[in-house]
Amino acid sequence: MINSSRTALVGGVALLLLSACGGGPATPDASEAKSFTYWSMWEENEPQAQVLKSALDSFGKESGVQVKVEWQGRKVQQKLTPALRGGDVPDLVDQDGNKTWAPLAAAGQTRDLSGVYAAQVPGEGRTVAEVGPGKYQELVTGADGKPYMVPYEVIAFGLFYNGAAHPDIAAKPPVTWEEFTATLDRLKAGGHGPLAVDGDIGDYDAMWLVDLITRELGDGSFLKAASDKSAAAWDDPKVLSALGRAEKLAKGGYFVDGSFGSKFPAVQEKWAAGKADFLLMGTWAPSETQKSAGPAFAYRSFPFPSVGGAQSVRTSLIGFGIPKRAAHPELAEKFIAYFMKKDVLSGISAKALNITPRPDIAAPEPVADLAKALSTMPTAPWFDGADGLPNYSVEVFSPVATKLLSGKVAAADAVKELKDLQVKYWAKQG
Amino acid sequence: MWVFVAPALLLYAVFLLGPTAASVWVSLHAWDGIGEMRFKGAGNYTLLLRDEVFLKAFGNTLVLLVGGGVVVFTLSFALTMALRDMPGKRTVRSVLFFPNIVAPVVLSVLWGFLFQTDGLVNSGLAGVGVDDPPNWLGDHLFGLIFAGLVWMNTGFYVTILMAGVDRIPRYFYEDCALNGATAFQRLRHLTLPLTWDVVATSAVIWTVSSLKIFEFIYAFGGTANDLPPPDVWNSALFIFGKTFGGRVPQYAFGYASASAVATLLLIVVFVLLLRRVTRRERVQF
Repeated sequence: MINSSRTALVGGVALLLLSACGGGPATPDASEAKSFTYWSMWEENEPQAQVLKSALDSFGKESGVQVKVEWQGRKVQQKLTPALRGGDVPDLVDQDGNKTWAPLAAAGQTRDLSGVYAAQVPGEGRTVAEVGPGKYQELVTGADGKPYMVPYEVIAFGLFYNGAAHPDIAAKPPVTWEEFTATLDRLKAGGHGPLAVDGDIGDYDAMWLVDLITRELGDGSFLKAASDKSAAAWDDPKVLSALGRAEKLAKGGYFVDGSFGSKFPAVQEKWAAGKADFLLMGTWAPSETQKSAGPAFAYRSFPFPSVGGAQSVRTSLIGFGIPKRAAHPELAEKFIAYFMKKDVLSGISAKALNITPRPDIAAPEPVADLAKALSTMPTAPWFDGADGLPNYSVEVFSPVATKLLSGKVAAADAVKELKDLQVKYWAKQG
Repeated sequence: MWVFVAPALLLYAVFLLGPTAASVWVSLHAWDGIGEMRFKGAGNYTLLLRDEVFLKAFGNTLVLLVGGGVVVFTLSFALTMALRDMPGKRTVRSVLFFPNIVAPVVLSVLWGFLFQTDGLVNSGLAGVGVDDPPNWLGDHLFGLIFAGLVWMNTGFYVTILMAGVDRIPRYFYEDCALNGATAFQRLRHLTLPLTWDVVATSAVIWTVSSLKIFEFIYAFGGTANDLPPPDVWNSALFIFGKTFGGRVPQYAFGYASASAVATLLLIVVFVLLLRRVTRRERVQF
């Protein structure tokens, strides 16, 4: 991989040399300023790309602004990093909030988008913040207090189940941990483990523990404990209690056979085939499992149950950002505001089957429950925001989570191991 | 004269020597790939020595290099000996070589299907009455990676060694048979000395390629988005994990370069040692 970054650098230098041959620095004249460049995280045949494409077309017709779009796919970030170092920077880029924008914002490479949040959505008489994205602004604000992204797609996390097979749960989904475990006990008596997790993905194991810990200690507590260089925050007896709940699930055989000995997506396929009842997952779960679930499967979901306190919905956001060195940031901002129009943005729900940040756009049926929860409950970031700590999940938390959830260690030993790994982790940062 | 060498030399310098020198330079800094580099001196290297994740990855690299090498070459020799007089050896050789031409990613998928809880291996074990089969992927991930890599590579070295063995005139072996030499004596006094140059070259090829192993571990232990658990990383995975890997990439280019340079030094030392140990007069025959 080092090699490919080198190649990119060499390529970047070559580009710089070539452009240097073309004469002095180009001064944008009026005709040039009527266009901007957009690097998309979608491939051209993806539904999101189709929605964006028609929005770009209609935006072009209405404003006269030409958008040069490149459908980069998920590798957009790998291409963006060397471009930021030197070379032509796109004016508009979209990506997963934490994955791309948080590190770039921390490096001071992103434009402050407060202006977009305050801008009018064309023809609606309300600002971008007011129509919906305002609710998520806090989740995409950097350490400097300035928002670095405007979301157009909201991913929510919760427990998915088949409403057609479980009409009783659909009628009254469990809200508290006690209600949830009572349901689990009832289902387990049927002869199979009711919970499904693709345990080979460390982050999927970690999701269970992050939710258990934050439900017991409050949202933000996980990030705080993870950021503690002495790791003493994990000594809180509530942590042990939260991990004890996970231990009970592990030792009680609540996870369906194969959860910790398969290759993703084997276990979620099993769940879709009806061999397990609950899957803790993001709102992409329906589209990933649709083929095995079949037409009779009714996707229903509820947020992670509460433990003595309130519930919140864990979310992760996909949206637009603008690099600081962009040449035409105003035009890009204009397009972001345009894309927030109700009739434009509704394509993300209707065609791309995802939740939008606008509560007045009906969410697609398979994720409607979580969309409804989003409109009534507070939001909390994916991984409690601790995914911004470089490799923390991979090196510290996920290995422990996998061991605990698969029943290899007890809760008390998991705390010890977590503290040990975390102290070592922080000792080598900086 | 040098004019003829110049084009090759230039390309070599630009694409290999230059970047290598640049890695050494970058390894002395903290650098996220975007901002300014911050000089750290030997800081990255002293950190590597204390980083348990790196030490584990480095250890795994050595296990694959040395342990994997011993197993691959033992198997290759055994198969070469067994195949030498076998009818239909060309077919068998092709079958053995097959895993080498299939993309490691495809093999890792196949390997996953074989060993997962409901996979073929456990079904087979259940068929012969094993009620409680091991949790292969959960408890023995590195062992499976090791076995998979041996399986993929053995065919390649069998092919190379057989090419060497095929050059040995038959009458030497007939002479061995007449004199009552055991299979081991035949290997020790005939096959090895007469294929020594082939063996030595193969050993260097294995050393270099084993340090570059990446795709199989990544695809077998992780997913498109997720890195495998750190206890199965080798140095190549470590470098990836510190730069572009994972859901939130780390972009620690200075630190990653330091680990790359450390790995490069390991290759150099090993190749030099191997050349030294395997240096002997070529037997003319």
